Amino acid sequence: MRLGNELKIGITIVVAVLVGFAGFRIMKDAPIFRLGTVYYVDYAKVDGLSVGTSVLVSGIKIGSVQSLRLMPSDSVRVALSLNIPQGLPEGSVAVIRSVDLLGSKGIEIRRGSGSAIPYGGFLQGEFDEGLFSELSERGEEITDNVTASTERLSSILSEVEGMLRDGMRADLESGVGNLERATRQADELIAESRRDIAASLENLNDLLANLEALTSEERGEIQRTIANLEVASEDLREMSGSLKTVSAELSEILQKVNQGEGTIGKMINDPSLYNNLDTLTVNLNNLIKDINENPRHFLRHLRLIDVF
Amino acid sequence: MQLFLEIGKYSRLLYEAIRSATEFKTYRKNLFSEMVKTGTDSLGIVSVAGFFTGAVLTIQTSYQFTSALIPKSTIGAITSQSMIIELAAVISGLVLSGRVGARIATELGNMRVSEQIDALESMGFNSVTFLVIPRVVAGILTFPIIYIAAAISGITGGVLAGIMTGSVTVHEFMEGARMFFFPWDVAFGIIKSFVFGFVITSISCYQGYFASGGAEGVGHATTRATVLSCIYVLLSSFLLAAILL
Repeated sequence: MRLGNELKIGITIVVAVLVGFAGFRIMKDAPIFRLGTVYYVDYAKVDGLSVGTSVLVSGIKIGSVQSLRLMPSDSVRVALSLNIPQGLPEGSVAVIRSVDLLGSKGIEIRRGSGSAIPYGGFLQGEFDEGLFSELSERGEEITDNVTASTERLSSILSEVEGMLRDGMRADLESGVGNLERATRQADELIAESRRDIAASLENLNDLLANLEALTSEERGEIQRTIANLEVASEDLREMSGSLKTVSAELSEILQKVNQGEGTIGKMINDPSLYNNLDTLTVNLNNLIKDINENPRHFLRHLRLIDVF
Repeated sequence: MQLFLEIGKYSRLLYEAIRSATEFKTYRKNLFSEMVKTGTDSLGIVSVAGFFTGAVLTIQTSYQFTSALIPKSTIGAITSQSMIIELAAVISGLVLSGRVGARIATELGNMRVSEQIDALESMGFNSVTFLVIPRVVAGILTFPIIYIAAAISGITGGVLAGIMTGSVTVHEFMEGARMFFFPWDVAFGIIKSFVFGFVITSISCYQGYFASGGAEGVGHATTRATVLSCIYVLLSSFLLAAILL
């Protein structure tokens, strides 16, 4: 069938319009052949929000911002075109928050738990200040701080510079100069003493050599001495063995003495001998006293004396 | 001097055309055949051009954006917005400068040198109404259609290239494309395509209508029609961007 030009044109235009419309709807993220579900949210401010901003539930995109309208009360009415057949429950909150580090915004919907909101209904709006907006809000403060710190730093630096300029520099220079001189002197000293040190080392060497010669000459003598020492130590060992026996025996005897065995033991442990001796002494004392006082009494019978 | 003469002749031709634009009956039949030749028959080549432009744009953008800080959706945003604002209209304009401009200039030039235009005039036809108006109007009316075809095939090509090279997924691509999709961009593209349709067809008609000097003259007119159409497409694109954006 041969198509007329009018028909061709008609088909082209209709197809183009349909395809263009479908493409437009797809790019707008709206359902192609039915109206999207539109909800409205009122915000006090919508910094960073724009038409086409994603609307997310648990991180999944379910729609986008369709329009932003400034209301007479300076609040902003945002229309959200959402692609959710089951709708949103009562009490759902649409939160504007940063979705990345650079502060671009998205709307996250926290589902409520009530009955479904009818299409075209209103959600509650919340604005979540992101890190960057906070930073930019406090930016002046931070800048002031940084400025103050920088000023302080620069004043410190200039003070240091001033100190260096008046006097400190001279001190430092003289210090460095002293150090240099000291190093040079140490250097000279070492250079001068080099010969002495070398001589000392030589002497030490000689000494060691002599010592070595001496030991090699007297080796036989030394060996003999060591052998004698060995014999002596052997004798000492034997002696100490006998001593050990002796002391063991002695300790046995002493033990016996302690226990009061034998004569000595009895003598030491039994006080009766002492008592007897004591009594004897006392008696003897008395007797001698008696003899002194009355010699006649005892000497009466001695004829020789009786002469007197 | 030559420049002012040319502008004057061109303006006069346009004036004649606009003056007789109401004589719809005279050129109705020609209009539809011109619309088919200019619009419907060009859809194929324009779609192919748009498709590959979009594909190349996606691949090259993803090649250039290697930073981890830039989300992949940016690729989709760049491809689709470039296609919608600029490339769909300009690429199709450049392609059709060759395809449509050359045809119009050759047709009218041949009619001129073989004295068919004079014959029409002597038969009492207004040659401008009969020959120029349908071509220019067809250009203005069909270029938006061609723009739509180029834009859609360009974005399709971008998406497919993204999938095939694995540089960007459909979801990422469309997310970026939607984030930077503004209805005004489409309107701007359509305005552009109206202008391009007018520029290409009117310049080609002018070159063909005033052709002279036999076969060589027709060739000369065709060359000039093609070259000037290209230049004025780019120039008018620049002016529109400067004025409207």
